[in-house]
Order: sequence, then structure tokens, then C-alpha cells
Amino acid sequence: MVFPMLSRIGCALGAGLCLTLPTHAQDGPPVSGGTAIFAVGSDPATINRNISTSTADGLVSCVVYEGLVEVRAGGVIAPLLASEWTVSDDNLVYEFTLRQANWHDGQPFTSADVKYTLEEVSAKFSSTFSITAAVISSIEAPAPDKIVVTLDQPYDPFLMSLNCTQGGAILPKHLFEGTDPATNPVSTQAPVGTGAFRFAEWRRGEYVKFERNPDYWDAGKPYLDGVIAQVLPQSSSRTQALMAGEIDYVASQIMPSSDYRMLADNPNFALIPSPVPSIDVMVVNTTRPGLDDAKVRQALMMATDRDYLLATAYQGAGAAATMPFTNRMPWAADADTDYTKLYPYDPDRAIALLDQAGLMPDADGTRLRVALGYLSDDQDGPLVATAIKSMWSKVGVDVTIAPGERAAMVPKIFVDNDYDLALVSYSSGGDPALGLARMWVSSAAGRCCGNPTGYSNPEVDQLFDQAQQAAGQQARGAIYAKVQHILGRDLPTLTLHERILSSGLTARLKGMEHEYYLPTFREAWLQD
Amino acid sequence: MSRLIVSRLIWVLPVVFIVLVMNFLLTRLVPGDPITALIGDFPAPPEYEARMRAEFGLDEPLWRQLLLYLWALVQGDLGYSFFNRQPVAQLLWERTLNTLLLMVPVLIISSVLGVLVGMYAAVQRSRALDVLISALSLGGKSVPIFWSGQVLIILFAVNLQWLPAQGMQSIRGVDPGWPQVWDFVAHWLMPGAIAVAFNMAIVARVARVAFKESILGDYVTTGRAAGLSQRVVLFRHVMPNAMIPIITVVGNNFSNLLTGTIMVEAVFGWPGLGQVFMTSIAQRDYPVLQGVFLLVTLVTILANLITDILYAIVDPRVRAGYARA
Repeated sequence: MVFPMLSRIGCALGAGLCLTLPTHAQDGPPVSGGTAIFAVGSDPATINRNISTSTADGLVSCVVYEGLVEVRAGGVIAPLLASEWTVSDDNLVYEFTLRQANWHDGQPFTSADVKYTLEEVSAKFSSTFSITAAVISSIEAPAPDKIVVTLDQPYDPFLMSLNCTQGGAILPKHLFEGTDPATNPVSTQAPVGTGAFRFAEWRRGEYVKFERNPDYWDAGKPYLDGVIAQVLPQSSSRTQALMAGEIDYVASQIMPSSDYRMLADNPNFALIPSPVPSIDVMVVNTTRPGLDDAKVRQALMMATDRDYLLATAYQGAGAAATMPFTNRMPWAADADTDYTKLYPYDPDRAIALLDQAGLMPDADGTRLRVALGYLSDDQDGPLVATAIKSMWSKVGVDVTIAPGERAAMVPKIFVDNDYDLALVSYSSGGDPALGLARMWVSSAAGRCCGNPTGYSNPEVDQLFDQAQQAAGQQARGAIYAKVQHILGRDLPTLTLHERILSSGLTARLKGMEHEYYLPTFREAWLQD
Repeated sequence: MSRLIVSRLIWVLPVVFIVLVMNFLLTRLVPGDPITALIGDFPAPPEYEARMRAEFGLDEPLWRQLLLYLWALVQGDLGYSFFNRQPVAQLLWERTLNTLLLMVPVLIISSVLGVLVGMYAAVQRSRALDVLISALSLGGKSVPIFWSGQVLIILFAVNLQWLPAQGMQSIRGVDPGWPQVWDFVAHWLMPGAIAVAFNMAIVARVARVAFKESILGDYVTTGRAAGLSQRVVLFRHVMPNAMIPIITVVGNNFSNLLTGTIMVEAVFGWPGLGQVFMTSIAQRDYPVLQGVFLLVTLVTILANLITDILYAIVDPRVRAGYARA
């Protein structure tokens, strides 16, 4: 099998959510010059994606660093630091040919950097890449431009995990070797990568400045003279700065969704829907009395009008969820698991199920009392929780709304499991193995941001393992369908909404359409 | 006078010590965990989490953490920020400077304007001006800055595009010299104006009452009868007598020097101490929070000390009291 392979994830027939990006044929060829400014929510803690999954760190890291591959919009995997690769027939041995590139300090980039980074940093420090590292049996560097990775078992998302977002950014061995990557000044003060932009200046609380890498391996790129990350802690101020012309780009992770319409209605601005599927989920503590019965959870699902939530609380953005996973991975869907058929909004049937579960109304007509938490920085949280409280009161379930600040709520939900129900969102990372399995597998219990439900099903664990190892989307999809079949009945989590986050940008900033999750600005340019 | 200063300074150390211990315990009592916040939003390998916890000394028992903190403090070490990977002292120094750039002009302008407006209102006995001052001070207190600030931004930055919306300087860069100064002033205008309005209203309200009372004094009648001009009467005779309550309120404003603008900084993206304080709360960055608390304590103590000294300078009765004691 010869690569580059095009691995398509996301849009397919009948998904209803397919977002065709506007073509910009009228934009003409890219123009060089200019500086683009983008927002970050706080100062980064480290400019090194391999040791942190925080949003602020991520937004600046992949401007400087590159993985062997890049993921482009639509989930297409394309060569980056690796120019090409081959995969053995048993899907165990990957042989990469590396590009001729230099680090920003002038040293040559070689296979030794790749081996060092993946073994010593990504595998040990990256919470995302460590999933992949668990199936890697060896990494060898037979020549400066060759790297051979052997896996213990087939692992379909392997290539995807080699991009910067997944903690697979290649770091300079000569600056990291023998140091603690978490405290190395290259991580915490002045990164040295191979990317299109090199680090220039960091004024804490104000901005991080990057300038064009004149020695970039992809001659002619980048088009911009520089990019600057401006620290804008208030979410509303990001939109205001964008509309005042002070910044050019607000990434989907930190763009306030309530402001989408304001930008959509203005020809000077544009929105780019994020190609990474993510979902809004109500996680259920299945160890709490009442909630430990699948019938009750099914009743709650039928007492929840997801279309109403979509239209009101989510302001019509995205779609109502129809399965445990995201609707946007139709290849992993199960034909029998369609929430619109399994659990249509039907308070009467919900009541019947609660009766069957033995939850009878007390003197006040209340069958069950639960607390529903959400993170106070979740903009949609208050509306969703209020709507659910009112919907569920019709079936005799009394909801106490219990929001909390992120730093306090996250350990409470995920580590201590001290909650009844909570609204959270999960990003798929582009593959169920990368971002979704953590929600249900037993091994991700007790940790942020894994499985807080207390649900532990050996069959589910096993199927997720199998799906991770199977080769090819068809084979994997069939196994994921089985998992979804089980999860769709057991309902340890109630998937409510398909979230489509959008980046907001000025209309004159072009070439951002191919970006996948964390911005690189590799192909960005500013129109006059 | 030196006796006054010494008698105040004696109290500084025990007060600071108690505040330090309280702040240390309070920051730890708040639910939440810096490591969880630091790792991000994906399950981290447990070994990595444990290593981080050990690295920041968070695996030690609380009493040991407190002792280590105090011991480091005695040696002049404010600690190391979990998030910014920077010594706290360095971090706070940079941010404090930025806050002072915003706040020192604000406090000077608002104090001078507040006294003048209060005096004018007292002399004119203008009903309209009274109402305006009361309305301003009530409004300044009750209209949240995150609302009024955003209204200003939408009006002057987004719609009219006269002033910048965010930050302390244009990060696209401006020419050094006057353009740079003007760029700073342009960034200062909106947050500065809001903070001036708020602080001025408080001073003006107190000043108006103080002048109104002082102006009724017999010495005013005597002075006028002796043919002194209105200006001499007001500034030489009325003002010193009206100053005590005004110094109190101005001193109080100065003790809010560092924390009085947390919301203003948040709304206008001013990279000051308030911004780092807010972010550090969300991140549970204990060393930074403790550092901010310590700084605020010291400024408050200093402002109170200066206020006391000013009382003594302005009011001979206070001075005499200390001389006797």
C-alpha cells in the first residue's frame, strides 16, 4: 500500500450536517505580506502541545511546531514533516521519509528528533498521544531522513495522531534532551520549531508574536510576514476586537457562539465551521439511586425535547443528536440506533417507563429529585439546564440547577464523581478512538475528562479496543456500530446536541479554510 | 511625627503575618485543583499528574506547604507561578506597572476634579449639580462596568472606530515617540474615563458635604467681613478645614489602587494586575494569588499610613494629640 492516503472522516451521504465551505475562486492568488492577529483566552502556560492540552497552549503551539502529518479540513491526512510514507500489508510497520528542513535556530531537522520526541516527550507527557504510544512497539531511525515505526497491533488512527494537535509535534532533540520538557525554557519561554512561523516576542498578558520563517522548507510559504496571538480573556471582547478591526481571527474553541449571527450578517466578516465533530452530552452518575436504572435514563431521554433545545438554547446552531457518538461520523453509526426513533420526545412514554422502574410520584407529584450541573463558563449551560428543568417537571422529575466554576466542577465531576447529572462537551479529535472512547471506557474513569458515569461494561471496553485495532474504516465502523448499539440502550450518557463550533474572522483573511483544529496560518494571507 | 510613624509601623509586621496565613489557607480552602486546570481537557497519564503535583510541592501536607511558603518569603522569594512558569515577583512587577499606568492618572485626575466639583457644588448651592453628583456616584457604583464598558466599546471602537477596543497599546506596532504616546493615551481614554468617573463621584460627594459644613464656620464670616476675597476664603480657610474627610476618601481610593480596576481591566483587556488576578483564580495558581494578596495588603497598609500622616500635617489638633501621647 502506498501513501499519501486520503482518510476521509466526517461528511458523507445523508449526514445532513455536511457543510460545504465556500470556494474562494474570486479571491485570486495569495498575496504576500501583512500580519494577522488572532485571539487567545489567556497567556499560554507552555508553547508545547505535546505536554499540554489546554486551549491557550494549543492555539499558539502549532504555529511554531509541526507533526509528521497534517490533518486538513474534512479529516484528510496530508504530508507535513514527512514527505511520504508506506504502510506494511499487516498495517504494523510505517516507514516515513522526512523532509529536508531546519529548526528555527538553524540546526538540521533529522529522524533523531522524531525518535526522541515521540519516545521521550509525546509518549510520556501528552495525554492524547499516550493512547497511541501504548500500541507502538518500536521507533527506529535507520537514516537521517528515514523513520520506521512498528506497532504491536494495527491502529487505524495512527497517522492522524502524528499531527501537532494530537501531541505529535516534533521537538528539537538538541534543545530538549536531558531536560524536563515541562520546565525547559524552550517550552515555557521561547519555542524553537520547524513551522512556518518562528517565535519572536512574548509580552505576558498582552501578546505572543511570531514572524515569518524565511528558511521554511515549503518554499514560498508562509504568505504572512507574521502572526500575533493577542491575550483577550473576556469572550465578548474577542468579538468586539474583531469587529473593531483590531484582530483578524478568533478560533472556534474560544469564539462565543452567541456572536455567530452578528458576524454572519456582516459582509466584512466570515465564519468557518470547525471540521472537528464535537458533541454536547449530559453525563449521568449511574451509581446514584434512581439513575442506576437504564429505564430511568431512557425515560429522561424521552422527556428531553432535543429539537427544542437546538432551536432555543443552542440558537439553531448545530443539530440535535441522533446517536451516542457524533452524527458527523456516519461510518461508525448503527442502523438501529437512531434517537429520533428510539427516544422521541414523548412525556407519556417517559412516565410509563418511570412507572416500570418503580419511581412513583410522592405527595408533591415528584418521582425523582436530581441536581443538574454545568460549568459556569459554558455559555449555553444556563439555557439548556433551565429548559431541561421545565421539560422534566412534566414527568415528575425535579431538577435543581447546580452550576459551578470550571476549576471546581471538573474535579468534582470527573475525579470525585460527586454529582447526579452534568452538561459537558467532548471533542471527537476526528476519530472515536482519539476523542470519544474516553467517555465510556472503564480505563478512563476517575480522571479529567474521561468517563465520569460509573458505567463500566467489559463488552464495551473490549469493543472499543477491537475497533481501535481493526484496519480500515469499514471494519472499524462495524465494531463502533455494535458499541453504539449497546450505549444507545444503556444510556450512561445522554448525547443531546451536535455542536458545530465556528471560527470568526475578517473577510480579508484568506486561506484558513483547510485548517483542522489548531491554527497554523501556513496558507493564510491577507487580501488588500 | 516620627512617633506617629513608628507607632503605626510596629503593627505592620503582625498584621502582614496574619494576613499571609489567612490568605494561604483561604486559597487552599476554595474547591478546585491547579493540576487539573493545568493539564487541560483530556485525561492525562496518572504518572504525569503525580509528577506535576510533586514538582509544585502540592503533594506535601498543608502545614508543610505553609511553612515552606513563609520560609521562602522571608528570603524574599514570592514563589513560582504554576501557569506562567515565571517567578511570581517578576510576573507581578510587570503587571503592577501596567496597572499603575492606568490608575495613577485616574486617581490624580479624579481626586483633583472631585474636590473642585464638590467645592463648586457647595458654594453654588446648585440643586442641579447636587443631583448630578449624587446620580453620578450612585450610577458609578450600581451600573456594572462590564455593561457600561462594553457600551463604550461598541459605540467608540466598533461603530465610530475612534478609539481602540482592547489592550494598552497597538500590537501591530506604532512609531516611537509621539505616535506611541498618543497610542497609549487612546488606549487609556475609555478605561481611564470610566475609572475617573467612578472615583471622582465618590470624592465629590464627600467633598461637597465637607465644604458645605466648613463654609458655615464663623471664621468664614470673619474672613468675609475682613474683606478677604472669595478665593482666599475658600482655598486658605475653608479647604484646610474640609480636608480631613476628603483625605480619608482619597486615601481609601488609593488603597484600591491595585485592585480597584479588576473589572475595568477585564473589559478593556488591560494587561494589569487585575487581569492576572482573575486568570489566576480560574487556574487556581496559588503562588500568584498569594502574591497579589500580599501586594494588596502592603498597599492598603501604606495608604492608611500616608493618610494618617496627612491628617497630622493638615490638622494641627491631630498633630498635637500625637505630640502629647
